[in-house]
Amino acid sequence: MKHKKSILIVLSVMFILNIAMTQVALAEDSPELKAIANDFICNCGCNENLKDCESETCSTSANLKEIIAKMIDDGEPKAEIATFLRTNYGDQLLAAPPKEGFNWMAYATPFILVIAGSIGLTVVLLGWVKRNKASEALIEKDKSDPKSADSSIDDKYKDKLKDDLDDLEW
Amino acid sequence: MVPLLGYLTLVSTMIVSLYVAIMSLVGVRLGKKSMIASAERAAISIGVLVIISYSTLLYSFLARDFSVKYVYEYSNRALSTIYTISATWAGNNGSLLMWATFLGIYGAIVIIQNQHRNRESMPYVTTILALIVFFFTSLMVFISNPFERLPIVPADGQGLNPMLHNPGMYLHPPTTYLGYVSFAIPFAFAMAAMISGKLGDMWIRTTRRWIIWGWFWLTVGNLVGAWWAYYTLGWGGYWGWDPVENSSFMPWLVASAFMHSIMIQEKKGMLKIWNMALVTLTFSLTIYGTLITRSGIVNSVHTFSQSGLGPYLGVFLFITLAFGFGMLIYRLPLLKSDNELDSIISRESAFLFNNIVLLGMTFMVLWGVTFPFISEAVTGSKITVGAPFYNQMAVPLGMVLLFLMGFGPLIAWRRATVANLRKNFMYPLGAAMIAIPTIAAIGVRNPWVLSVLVLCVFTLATIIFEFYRGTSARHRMTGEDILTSFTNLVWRNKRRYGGYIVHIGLVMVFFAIAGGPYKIEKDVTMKPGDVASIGSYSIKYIESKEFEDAEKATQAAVMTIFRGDREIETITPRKELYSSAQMDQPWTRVGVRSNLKEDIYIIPSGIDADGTGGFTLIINPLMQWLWVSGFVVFLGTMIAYWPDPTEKRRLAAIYARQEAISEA
Repeated sequence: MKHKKSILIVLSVMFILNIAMTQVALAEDSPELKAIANDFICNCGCNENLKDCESETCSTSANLKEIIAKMIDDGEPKAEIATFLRTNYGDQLLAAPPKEGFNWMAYATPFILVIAGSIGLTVVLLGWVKRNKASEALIEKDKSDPKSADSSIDDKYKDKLKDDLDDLEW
Repeated sequence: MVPLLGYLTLVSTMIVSLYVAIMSLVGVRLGKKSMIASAERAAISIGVLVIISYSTLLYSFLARDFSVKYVYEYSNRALSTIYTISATWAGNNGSLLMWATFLGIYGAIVIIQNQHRNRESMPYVTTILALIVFFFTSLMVFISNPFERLPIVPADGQGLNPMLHNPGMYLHPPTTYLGYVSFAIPFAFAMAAMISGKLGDMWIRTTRRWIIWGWFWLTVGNLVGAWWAYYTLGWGGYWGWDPVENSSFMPWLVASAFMHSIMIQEKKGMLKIWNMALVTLTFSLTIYGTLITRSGIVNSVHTFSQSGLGPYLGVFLFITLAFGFGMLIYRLPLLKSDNELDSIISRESAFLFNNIVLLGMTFMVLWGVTFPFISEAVTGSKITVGAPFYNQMAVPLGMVLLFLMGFGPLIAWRRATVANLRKNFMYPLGAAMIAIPTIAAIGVRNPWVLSVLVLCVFTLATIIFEFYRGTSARHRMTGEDILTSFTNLVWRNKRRYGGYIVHIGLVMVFFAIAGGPYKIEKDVTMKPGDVASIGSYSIKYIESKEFEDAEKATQAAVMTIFRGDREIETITPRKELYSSAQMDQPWTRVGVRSNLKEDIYIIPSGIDADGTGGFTLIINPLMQWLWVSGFVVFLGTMIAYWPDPTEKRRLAAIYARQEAISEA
């Protein structure tokens, strides 16, 4: 029990020291810094957005935020800071692919596929409608044939039956 | 002794599942009913074996048996009972056992349910389910043994990751797995249908409730995951498009498409190929989700362990896809149905366009995961695809989906006439038109948010209109009072109106998401006695408190929230430092005050010895609607899932006909 208590005291001291060391940097996260950090990820491997990556548990994000904060203090515009980060850390640091060159594929492909899929589906559905009309015409032709056994069936009741079947809860 | 029993039952499960797979397959090929019966009895015993195995693991945890490596790694003596129970699925080994346990139980239920029906396909269903159990138990027996012993018994365990000290821990993994595993059942029936050549819609009718069950648990799993992230990860959001989140979202999307398209096959006998493809894709994506979460191949805040399981799960995923689509190609000539449609403006079409959008969203997510590799291969430069990409892509697709959710119920099956469209669209469109200036008048200027909110109103109006129309028609026809008419309407058409209620829940999800752009965030440094303001609130930092228990040391900031002069609530955002060996970093516990309008969310970034602290104050509008939606989805699903005597009679008649045909 005594042993456990001393561990807790040591941990509490570590805890306070740890917090004290990181607190200053965190308290200085200005809205400008957050706005810039939001466009980047932390490159420690956690894949978290730089804005959200907790600096107290990640020295990488703390360093990056410090760089951004310093550049903001130096009066650098947002675009300059972003260019600096891209140049020094690569496009991998950006939270989303920049909209240029091959990266347009990332943005365009899903929409192209949905649009192409919708057009394709429309064509297929129109084909099914056409096929349905053709078979209905065949039935009509059949009915006009006096030999047809079905000719006596009233269309009204057939349609009613079809509607009722469609409304069945399945 | 107990861990040994657990291990032996695991080995037995593996052997029995192989026996079941072989006996069932050989039995059906040789026409030996006794072999099939033996396999089915053995398959039921798998359900019992996995329960014993899981119980022994649970017992080892509760008994603090640190001779078991897995118990040592994920618990310690200070851990409370509820978290000790949830620690059983905290790591890979226990998660795999949970997978196998759910599947063993599901398999036993399926066999008992189908003792006198689907006799031609059941041997194949049994074989497929047994092979899946065999795969997972083999992984545990040979690679990831939850009962592995340590040579020296440690005095205490390493404890549970603090991130897992949250009610989300005892809800999120089991609910997600309940959903994942459920889709093994429709997959098995679909494959059995293709192997046996019985390609009608019986596999759909038989597994319809399993599909609803699986979809429901996937929904709950995703929502609880978001809730957990919101309260535990402490970044003020709930969905970060992380690879693990994506991997559980994708099966949900495809399962949603599947749930809609099976209705067309049931009603019209169409889309047989499409449904086979969707069920294969859904099940494969559940394996993909397990692979991503459990292999540690991606970095994620949700990956709590690394393992060598990746290649095995990858091979299993490949086999599943190859088998599913291979069978589909093999049976293509028989699966081709006489697809006919009366009109392109029909509910069938709306369902199919909804399928396209849902699959488009699935592709978008998968594309986002894959694109960095493609980009590197083509351009040589590495890029990241993170949350801003997904948010940009998901918003327009989500809006189309929301529109279709409102549009679908308004148009008739088969063919919608102009009169029908005019009649059905008049009120919902009217409501949407009124909503535009009303929403703009309350200050919403963001065009995306405005559009989403108007679509929410439109979709909600269509659903309310559907209820109104049905109730008034019933009231007129039967003379029942309005409440009775309403109750009977829902109760006699459970699937339809249960589905509409689920849609109301999903509208709430969109409504909550729409609040996102109006989030307010502010960083402050405060000392006790200071007051900070955000939005229409002021927050007074009362005092800083330090306390400790057996598990952790805590430093809390006691803060009171005021609106004007009125005190609303006192909350205590805090930092915790756990005493177990593996956790040497302080953990953030946010303070949240919620109502349906907005959440006040306080993240402590650090609290100094004299109480001075750095805090992020956030106002998250409409957040609670996201959690409320879960209850509405639950209500709707329960109604749709509830046994229906009419459906039961209809199915019984079909099974009887089937039996008579097979006997003849």
